[in-house]
Amino acid sequence: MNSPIAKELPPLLPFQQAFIELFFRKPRRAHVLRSESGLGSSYTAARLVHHVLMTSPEARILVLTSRRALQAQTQDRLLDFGVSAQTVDRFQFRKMQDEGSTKGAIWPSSMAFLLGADFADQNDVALSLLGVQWTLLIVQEAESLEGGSGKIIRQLLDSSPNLRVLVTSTMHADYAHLFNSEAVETTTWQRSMAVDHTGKALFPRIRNLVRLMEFHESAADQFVREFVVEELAARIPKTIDASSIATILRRSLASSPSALEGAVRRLRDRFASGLLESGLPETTDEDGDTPILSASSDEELAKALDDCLMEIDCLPGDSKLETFLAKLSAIRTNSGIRSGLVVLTEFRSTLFYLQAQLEDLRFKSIILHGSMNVDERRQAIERFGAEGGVLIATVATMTEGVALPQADTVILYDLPQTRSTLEQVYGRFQQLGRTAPVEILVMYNLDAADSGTAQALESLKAIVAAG
Amino acid sequence: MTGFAQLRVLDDPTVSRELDLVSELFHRINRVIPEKQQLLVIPPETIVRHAIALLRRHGYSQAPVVVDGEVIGVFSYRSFATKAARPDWQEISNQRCAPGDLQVDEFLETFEFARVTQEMGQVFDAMDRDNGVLIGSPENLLGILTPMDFLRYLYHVASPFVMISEIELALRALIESAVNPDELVECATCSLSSLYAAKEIPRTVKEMTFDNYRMIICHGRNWPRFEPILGKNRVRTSGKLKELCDLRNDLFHFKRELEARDHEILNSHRDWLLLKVRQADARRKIGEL
Repeated sequence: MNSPIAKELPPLLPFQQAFIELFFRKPRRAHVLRSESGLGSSYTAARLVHHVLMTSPEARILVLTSRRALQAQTQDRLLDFGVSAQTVDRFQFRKMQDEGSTKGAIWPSSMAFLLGADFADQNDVALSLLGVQWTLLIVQEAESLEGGSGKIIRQLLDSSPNLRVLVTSTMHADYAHLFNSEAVETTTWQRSMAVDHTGKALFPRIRNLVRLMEFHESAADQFVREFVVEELAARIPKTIDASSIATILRRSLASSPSALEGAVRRLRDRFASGLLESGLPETTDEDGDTPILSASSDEELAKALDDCLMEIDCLPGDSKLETFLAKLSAIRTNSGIRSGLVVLTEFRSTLFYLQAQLEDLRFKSIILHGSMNVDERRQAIERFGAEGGVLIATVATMTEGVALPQADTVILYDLPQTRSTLEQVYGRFQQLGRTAPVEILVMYNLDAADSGTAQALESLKAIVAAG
Repeated sequence: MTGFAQLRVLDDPTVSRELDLVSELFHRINRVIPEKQQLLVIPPETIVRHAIALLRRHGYSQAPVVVDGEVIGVFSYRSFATKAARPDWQEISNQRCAPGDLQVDEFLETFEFARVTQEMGQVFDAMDRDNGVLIGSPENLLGILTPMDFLRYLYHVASPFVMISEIELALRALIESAVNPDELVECATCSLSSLYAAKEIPRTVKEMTFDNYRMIICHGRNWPRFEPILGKNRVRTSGKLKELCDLRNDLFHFKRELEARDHEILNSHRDWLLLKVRQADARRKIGEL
């Protein structure tokens, strides 16, 4: 078990303190904390765990999260607060099962356990969780839970009559389905209402800007796009993964030639190793024989993938990148990159592609991506805060706990498609300490604008307008 | 006294930390069992024909047979074949049913149990003899381990190192096919002088680091020598090599366990270089390089 190192805890902000007091004062079964980002809902949830264990040392607390980075951060926080906390994955679960001789003994009291929401939903894990009485369940970033994850929450409420639940989420999520008729107390935190101990607004009204960096595709870019959309996507086998593969291809195509190449190569590898066929579970016969693709469709797809790679290999340039670099040069010429420029992409391969280009142009860059551990991420953000320059990050790293109030320009090299992700991303820049507006620039392909992009853009504008 | 001073001490934290550390650092059985293993257990009264259909459907070779949560044995293709082949025609005629109509408890074999904390080597003999080992205890079955699980695990652990060595050697070969030794020194001087003092600039590919290769290949002035081999786009090549360099550092400095996605990236970049080596080889043979 991970042992805690208790430190003196800093005072909570008034609205955070008020929420914890409300939680104890109104003993409803479920509290939903809907918050604009940057207000410390995850931190407050961790402090709540601490308070519960202070007042009920025998409490047994479960924290469900869908993102690993947030899970690691929460565990670090809890250990800092002096709480015994254990992240449980499949390997840890087996180890605990091996050590515990009787059912239920593997979840000792006086502790907080952190599990991935999907993992907690797996049959054997759920069965084990339901075998003990829980005191507090915290569901973090509930908006990013997959549809099925609500089941374990309902089951835990049924099996632990004294269980209380805290759900934290963004402003626009709806959790009525999780609690049925349970008494739910909903608290809403908005930045405009947040004040410090002296009553001073924590987030003075700053008018942030959203602007488009429009570009047209070159003929070569257009050819590749049409090839991917019309030739390749049509040859994907109609497995249950077909639509997600098409989405990945479309998103990677929109991101960069590197991202597209990576996606096509991985698709080809999976296809070659037969993994694409494994997505046909409903059509297997009784003996478990899996139908295979016909030889002709195999050949067509393989050829289309190879042709696509060849087309990418022959691409002479990249219109999107050229527009991006022109903007960067203008920023450098006009003002220099002082406080900090953040570039966000959805793909790690695009991140390295951009870094290579920036290095070539002698820009100082710092990278932040999902394969970096918590310490490396923290160091990268601290370095960016201290030195400025260009931070190139993947969207996936823009989670709770990441604060970039010093950034003056954000370039969305890839525009996240969901409102909740956009809120998460925007929240990283709307943190305590922001004193000047942030300019958000969105790379916008005039030749490939679709309804999804238009909708995401509207969402972004609405989020920014709301402050 | 604070609330935390009253918290129950669950176990000795020092010992617990050491155990966690051992599990993280050494290859224990826990790591070998597939993370998403779905245990298939069958009751003893299952008809053999149905049990075999179940095994086929799940792609398994054996399944523990369980009564009231306790393992009483294992039914497998082997246990079935061994026992079904034993009786002669007379005995089969007397029992008046085909072997497939019997219950699985007629065909059980015994597997050894191992604990998740055991070292891999400790179960090799049992694995060799029985073709599998059960994990946990008869009352607390946690998983089943087969030789294929071992093979997959060891491949998973070893393959990134193998792929990185292939990638590194392929890069060396490509560099050497693009430039002669004197030109290589020229390229290194041009692209590495900011990193090394003049006399310390590496002169041969064997003296160079992976990042040196990237800097040499992707330097604007050197690129025309490498473009015929690596394609039109210098930045994309540089980005790929940067990504590889990042993964290589994580791997060789044991910074983290590589994930499935990392394996895919290594594999795809390896394939890309393999293709380039093949193309360079073919062009050399016809005198183009």
